[in-house]
Amino acid sequence: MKKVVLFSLLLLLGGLLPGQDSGGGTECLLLRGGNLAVSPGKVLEKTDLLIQDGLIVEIGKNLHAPWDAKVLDCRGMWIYPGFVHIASRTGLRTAGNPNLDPAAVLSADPATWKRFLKAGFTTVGIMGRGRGMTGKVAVIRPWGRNREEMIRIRCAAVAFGAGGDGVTARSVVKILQAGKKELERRKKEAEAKAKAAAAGKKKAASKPASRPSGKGGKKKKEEEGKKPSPKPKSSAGNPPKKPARPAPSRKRPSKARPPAMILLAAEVMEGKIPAFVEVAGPTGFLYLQKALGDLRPPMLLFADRPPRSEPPLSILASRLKALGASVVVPVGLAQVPFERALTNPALEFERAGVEFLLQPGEGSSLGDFRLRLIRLAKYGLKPASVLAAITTRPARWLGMADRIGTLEKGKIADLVLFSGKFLDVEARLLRVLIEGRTVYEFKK
Amino acid sequence: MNSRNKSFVLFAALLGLLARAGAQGAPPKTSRRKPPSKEAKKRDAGKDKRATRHLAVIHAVIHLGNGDVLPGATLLVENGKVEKVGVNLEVPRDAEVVDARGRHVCPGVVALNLRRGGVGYPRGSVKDFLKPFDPRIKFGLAAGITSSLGGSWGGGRGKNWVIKFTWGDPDRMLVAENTIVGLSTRDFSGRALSRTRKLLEEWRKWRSDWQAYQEKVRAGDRSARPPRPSRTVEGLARVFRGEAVLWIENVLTLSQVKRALWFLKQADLPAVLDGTAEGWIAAAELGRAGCMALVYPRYHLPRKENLMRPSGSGIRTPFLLSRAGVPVACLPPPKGFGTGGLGQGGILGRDMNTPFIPAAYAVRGGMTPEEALETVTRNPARMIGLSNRLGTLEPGKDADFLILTGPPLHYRSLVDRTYIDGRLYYDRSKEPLFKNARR
Repeated sequence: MKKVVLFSLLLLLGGLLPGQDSGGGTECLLLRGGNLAVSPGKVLEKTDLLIQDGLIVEIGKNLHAPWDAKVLDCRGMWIYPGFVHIASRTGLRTAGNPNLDPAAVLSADPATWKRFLKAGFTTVGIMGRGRGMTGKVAVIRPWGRNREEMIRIRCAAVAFGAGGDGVTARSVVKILQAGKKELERRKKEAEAKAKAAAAGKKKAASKPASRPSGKGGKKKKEEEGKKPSPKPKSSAGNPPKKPARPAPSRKRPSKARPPAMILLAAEVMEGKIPAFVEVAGPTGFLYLQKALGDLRPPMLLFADRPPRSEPPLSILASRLKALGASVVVPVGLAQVPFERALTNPALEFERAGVEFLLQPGEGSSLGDFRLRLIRLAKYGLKPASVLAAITTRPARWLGMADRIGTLEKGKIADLVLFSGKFLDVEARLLRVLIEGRTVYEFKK
Repeated sequence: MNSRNKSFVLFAALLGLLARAGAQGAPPKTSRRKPPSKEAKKRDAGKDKRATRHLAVIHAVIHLGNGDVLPGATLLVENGKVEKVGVNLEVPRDAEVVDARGRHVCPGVVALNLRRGGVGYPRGSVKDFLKPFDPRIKFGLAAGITSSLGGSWGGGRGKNWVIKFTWGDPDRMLVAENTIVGLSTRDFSGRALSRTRKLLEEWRKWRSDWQAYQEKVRAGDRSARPPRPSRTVEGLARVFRGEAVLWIENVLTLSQVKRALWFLKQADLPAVLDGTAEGWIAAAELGRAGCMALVYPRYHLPRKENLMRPSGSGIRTPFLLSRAGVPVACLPPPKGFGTGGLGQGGILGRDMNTPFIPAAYAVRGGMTPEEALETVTRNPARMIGLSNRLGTLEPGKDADFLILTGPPLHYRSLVDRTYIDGRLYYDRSKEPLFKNARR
């Protein structure tokens, strides 16, 4: 009997320990002697990196290993910050639509995300594609037991599809303008409230305090009547937000909220989150620019699905430069239509001084993602800007610049370990860490 | 006839000589005249510099496109329009000067066979669906095409448009929309005939209403309202008011030509007949009816031996038609090699990149070179109802012109530069695909 109890106790302990290991955040890991690419263009050779609670806590030479630290011998290895995928459709079952909330419909099947881990991505932006407003952009890590665990930011940006024609471009700008109007309305309301508060202080009575708010509501209603609703769909409401919504509406039935679409557009126009706008080639960009006029929302242009019959967007690089725009281009070289010549749009953007990001693609194209990066570098792009285009820049656009993108003290320990420099054909991806945990390991 | 031919021979020889000179000459140089003095600068500072843009092409053999050729002439362009053409013209001080010594200048080709190039599938106005970076536009510029008709017009429906080949510039691209109202000779026979008769009846009624309205207006009746055409008659009404041109398709054999003529007589309208292969037999009638004809000089319709009347069609068709006073536009054959559209599979691929070839065939068929040049510039412009803007280099028209290395219809001539609205859109020396082209 004792033996049985002891055995079962041992079994329990054995079962518990690894469970703690994977679930608990107290793990301590020391990467010993690796070459750290701390940020694009800056390398610390033969340096140690200490991870605790999923964060980078120390970077330096000959670090003292705490008693509970696991030590990983990384001598000869190159350690990079985890790559950031700016926008993927993976895991979404529906096409982009104004009410799309990727955080609510994402697939958490690990098989789906294995490819991302294998390619070295530790952060992925999830964005629906289509025309008009195509929903929120969520930021996830491609590893976790369920959806909630994977989510890093529920709404990092708002996605739009401006297409390649004037009608679609104008419909996008119309939504943004509605957002701007909403902002102006809020500003007016706030001013009215402040005035009312001042008046209330003078009179020191409760009556006038309640009146202006009613007035504001009326005003808002009137304005809403005038407001053009760009799409009838928008009034249908945002499904994931449903439980939260009825409560305020019951309290104040007279005060109708503007559609979720316009609220998001207002956030963009306020500068809180950027707009990710897809354009179809240079024609799409010209139409969008024309439609925008003086409107300057924080905007990242997506030119990652170029039409086959048009030259790459880089032929308008000088215009983009004048606009101060940033562009997402596909990883790889582009073929000029009707010519055999290959161009490197990323390089042309860099020469023109336009910030560019690289779109690694989806599915099977993730497999040769690094080979295409190597090709870009071979055609003249500097390794530092290649690294910036898949780490720091997308991290900034996804609103996570303070947490990922570089190897710094206090940042999330998302790391990729290579056997050599990542733009070396012979280098191999050995290990991927997300928040200090090994989520992928190369096995011979 | 004989003396006329002689003069052509002489003229052609002259052109040949000039072409040689051109081939040996240096490529056209662009230069600015002396920089304006300080006083002039001060004077101009107040004005917007882009207010007047002058361009002068000097020392060129200029084919005006209306039958005139001016050797050693100057072409002055102001704000995208032709200002003056002539010999010994004074060049304005601020003009950008292009020295085209030994080169030939001719109006840009107005193509009629660009189906959908340069434009997507428009939902609404065409101006929102232009594709200024379509590679076919670049190819067209290299071939000397500056504007083109596109879209569809069958059965009086469909959208059609005229675009200029302004590469990368959607704002200047669209010239006109829905300038063509199309009918087919199939509507004039068999089961469709009764419907056409009804249409004609309705059309006559609308026109008499219109005339009554005009008389009222003339009498000073302010309450008069123009009669509203029904949907079926609207196309013909637009043709009548001069807003569109009537095209009749599927006119190949003599019987089809006669059927088209029957309709035009009933409707009392002029029209453009597409593919009048056997039209030359009834050329005089076509001329009297005020028709224009799209002709395919390379299209060979064999003579039918069992018929007593003349039949068939060949290389002389455009000449015979134009002699009878029918304006002719020469097009490459719609079938046969690839497609009739523009592009590498169409005329640009198989025609050694030149839309002038059909016109050169027309010369072989008996036309003069200058008349033949009109068949690809001035006459097509008339057929799309834009003769007030396109087709020739007469003062006041759009400055859409080409600088060629030789005479326009010569098979060895290449397009050096293509200007649209006085702006340079194609320069062979800067195009990687064409700069090493030889013929």
